[in-house]
Amino acid sequence: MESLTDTEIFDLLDGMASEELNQRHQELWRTDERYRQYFDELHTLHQSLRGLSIESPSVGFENTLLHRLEISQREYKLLAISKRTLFLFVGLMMGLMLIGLLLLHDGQSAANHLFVPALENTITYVGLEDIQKVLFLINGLLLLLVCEKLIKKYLELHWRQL
Amino acid sequence: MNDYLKDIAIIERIMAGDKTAHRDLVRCHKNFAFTIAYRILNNRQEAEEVAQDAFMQAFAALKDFNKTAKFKTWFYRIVFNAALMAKRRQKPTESMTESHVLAFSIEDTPQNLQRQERSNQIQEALAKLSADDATMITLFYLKEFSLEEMTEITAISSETIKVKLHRARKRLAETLRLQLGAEVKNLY
Repeated sequence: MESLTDTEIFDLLDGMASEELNQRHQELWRTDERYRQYFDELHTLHQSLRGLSIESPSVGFENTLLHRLEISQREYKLLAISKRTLFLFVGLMMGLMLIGLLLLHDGQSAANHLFVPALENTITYVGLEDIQKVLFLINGLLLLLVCEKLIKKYLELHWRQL
Repeated sequence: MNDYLKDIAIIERIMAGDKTAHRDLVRCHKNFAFTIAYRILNNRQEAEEVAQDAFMQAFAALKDFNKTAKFKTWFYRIVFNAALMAKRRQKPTESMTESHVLAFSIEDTPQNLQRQERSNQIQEALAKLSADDATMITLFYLKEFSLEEMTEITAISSETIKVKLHRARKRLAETLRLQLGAEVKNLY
């Protein structure tokens, strides 16, 4: 009788063999000494593997991991706050720009007629140059903030690749 | 409660902001995550780092986790991929097999010692297998994953997994035979 292949023996061990395969195995087990030895070897290995224990990490594993998680959550919160601040800043800037445009606009609409004189008075009081300086300063800060974000991202990526 | 429901309950606690839930999830999966990484990397320190990175990745992606899927297959896939990436970065000297120290105690019976010795031989033989082969055996025997679950974790078809698993066991048997042969030779 033809001996079983390794695949067939493993199917037997895994409990996935057909009835026909089981019968062939029984027959070979009774008659073929070499087959019996080989089957026993694989069967012992199979049993040993089933009894293999799972490895455990070091005692500090859990605490180190949770500490890392805590730090990353804190960083995430800080990032969220800084993002919110950035949006607030951009919003503020847009508002200021709009006011600036309104101040400089020589409008014809009825609405403008109502508050342009008042704005003109404000410009005269504060001074157009001063307003421009403040706007430049805020825009400069915004530009620096955007640059910092971009450079930081680039450096992080570059650092990881290294 | 079965493992699947237990995992889902912990995940829901995490999503609800329960601070202790992270620790519970880590406790449930740290050993097997570490074992997968260790089988692939053969280095305890690196395996711990990989397992920790995998947990961090999983925590970050937890909000996107589909709760109808099994957490363990989803998570062990992260561990498996992280370990394979670490293996690619690993220098040859780092993957040297770490020796397993036999711990003898007064309570050790001859049977226990024999079992322990056999276990050590298998651990050594496993360390000599390729990362792929060792992973197949680890997934199949240690956590008793089905072929379908192994397909989900490794992204390899179940037929290929079956072939790989058979081949891995055959190689393991051969390695053990060689190992035992060398030990017998050393005795004389």
